[in-house]
Amino acid sequence: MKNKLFLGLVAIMFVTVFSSCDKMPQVEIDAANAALTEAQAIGAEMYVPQDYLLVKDSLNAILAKIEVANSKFFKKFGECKEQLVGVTAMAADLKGKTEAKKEEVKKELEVALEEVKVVMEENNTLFAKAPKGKEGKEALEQIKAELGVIETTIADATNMLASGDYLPALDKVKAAKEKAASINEELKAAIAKTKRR
Amino acid sequence: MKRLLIKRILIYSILSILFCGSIFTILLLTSDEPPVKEINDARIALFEAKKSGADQFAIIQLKNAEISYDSSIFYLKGENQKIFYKRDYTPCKNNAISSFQTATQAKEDAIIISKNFKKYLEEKIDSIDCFLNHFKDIFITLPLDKDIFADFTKGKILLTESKYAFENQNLTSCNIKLDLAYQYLNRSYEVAKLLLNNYFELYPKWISWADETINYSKRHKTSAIIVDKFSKKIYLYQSGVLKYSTEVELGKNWIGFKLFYGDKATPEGRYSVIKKKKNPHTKYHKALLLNYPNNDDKVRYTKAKSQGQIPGNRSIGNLIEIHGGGGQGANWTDGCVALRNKDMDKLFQLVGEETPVTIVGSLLSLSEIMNDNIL
Repeated sequence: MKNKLFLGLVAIMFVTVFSSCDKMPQVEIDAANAALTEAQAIGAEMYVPQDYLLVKDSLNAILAKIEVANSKFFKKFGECKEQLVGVTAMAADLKGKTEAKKEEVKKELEVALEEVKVVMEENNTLFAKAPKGKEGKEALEQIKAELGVIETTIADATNMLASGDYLPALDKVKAAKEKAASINEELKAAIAKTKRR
Repeated sequence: MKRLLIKRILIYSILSILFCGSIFTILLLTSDEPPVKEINDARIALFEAKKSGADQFAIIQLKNAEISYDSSIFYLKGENQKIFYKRDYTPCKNNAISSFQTATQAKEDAIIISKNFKKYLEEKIDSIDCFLNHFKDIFITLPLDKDIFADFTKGKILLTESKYAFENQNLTSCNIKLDLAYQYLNRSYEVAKLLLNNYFELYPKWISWADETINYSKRHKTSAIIVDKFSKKIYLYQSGVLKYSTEVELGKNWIGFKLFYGDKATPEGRYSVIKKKKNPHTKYHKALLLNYPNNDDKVRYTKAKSQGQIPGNRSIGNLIEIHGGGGQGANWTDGCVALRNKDMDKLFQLVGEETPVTIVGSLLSLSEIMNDNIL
């Protein structure tokens, strides 16, 4: 009877020891990694760099913690699992933030493109009205060359918009807009001068 | 007897378990612990380094720090596979320490480099801006090819783009755009410079013509006109003293001598007023007709014609005047010198027929104009 009791106790001890050893939370690790990769793929590093760094660091911290927990005799991954779920959620948020920021930049780019196109249309109309006499011919030739360069810049920016390269395209459009506006003033001044005469 | 045997077995078993337990506990307590603090320190240092821009400004150091960190985690994983009493985390710890040190250095370097790089870019932007502002007034008046003018415009747009990139802290992109802007601007600058260098070979002659004209005015107590094509100015001297000056506009191809009819070039040389004309005898308000072509012009024309430089049967041209209708903001005449009507009124009053008129490329030397050391 005593022997049976002893063997029972030993068996319970073994079961307790082995059942207290957690398994590595590989599913949660994979989910967190995948969520961060998704955010990175849509440009988190470019559009929300600080947030991206923060989430990546959080994930690295947990992965290190998991390895440390893995070194213990009695492995416990419960807390790490919870944290991994948290990081996965953070990465999903990051993806949302990236998409929102990208959308914001895209809208700004589209608006800027529309605006510069309007100015360019007006420039072309003004160009047609500008004094065509030999007095203005040379100035008009220079303006024509400048308008050509702006058109090329706008075309480049439009291609960049199509390929999702919003941030550098925005700088391009802003610069084109500035130049188009200065030509607009130049043309208006030239026409006004002709009218005064 | 049997009970005694069982008792002994039980005692030995308990003693064995206690002995094994003690050994196990001793081994467990003396086994190597993973370097948690070092790994965390390294990770935080890496984070801080990236936050400070080490991925742009201390790339190699950051990469080394990352490699050391990854190695540290690799050794940690490797040791974890071993039985606990055989684990040795020294390589893991050493790599973590090395990663921490390299990442800390990368952060410090990135801060310094980015600060210096920003300053460098600010200076570069200012320098190209300054070059552009200095050069654009000269450039837009030069009769250059359309492609050269397009390069100049591309350069200007890229410069503006680089300023936006700088504002958005895209320093690398800003630097690339600045380099491109400089390439375009410099290309047009070099073409313009070559054109001007060739043109200004005549500078000593221009100065001697101008001096002779002023001396003539002084000696004969008469009026004399000097037209400076480069600065687009006309000067009226009376008895060798400058009395009046104002801005003028010229022919589109104002650089160089006038060779033939329709070349849109304003002549260079020593002339005189041969006729004063008023509306309706001129369509440009008032005009002073010059005796173009002079003998030098005729010699030049004949030589050019013999060398096949005159297209078709173009004549040498005539009717070069100083007239009104200016103030267009461009060089638009067929070769005449145009003044604003009110300026023409004034000049017309002060000048009579036979007044000497000297037209020169420039009264300033090229180095005075270009300030070559600007870039």
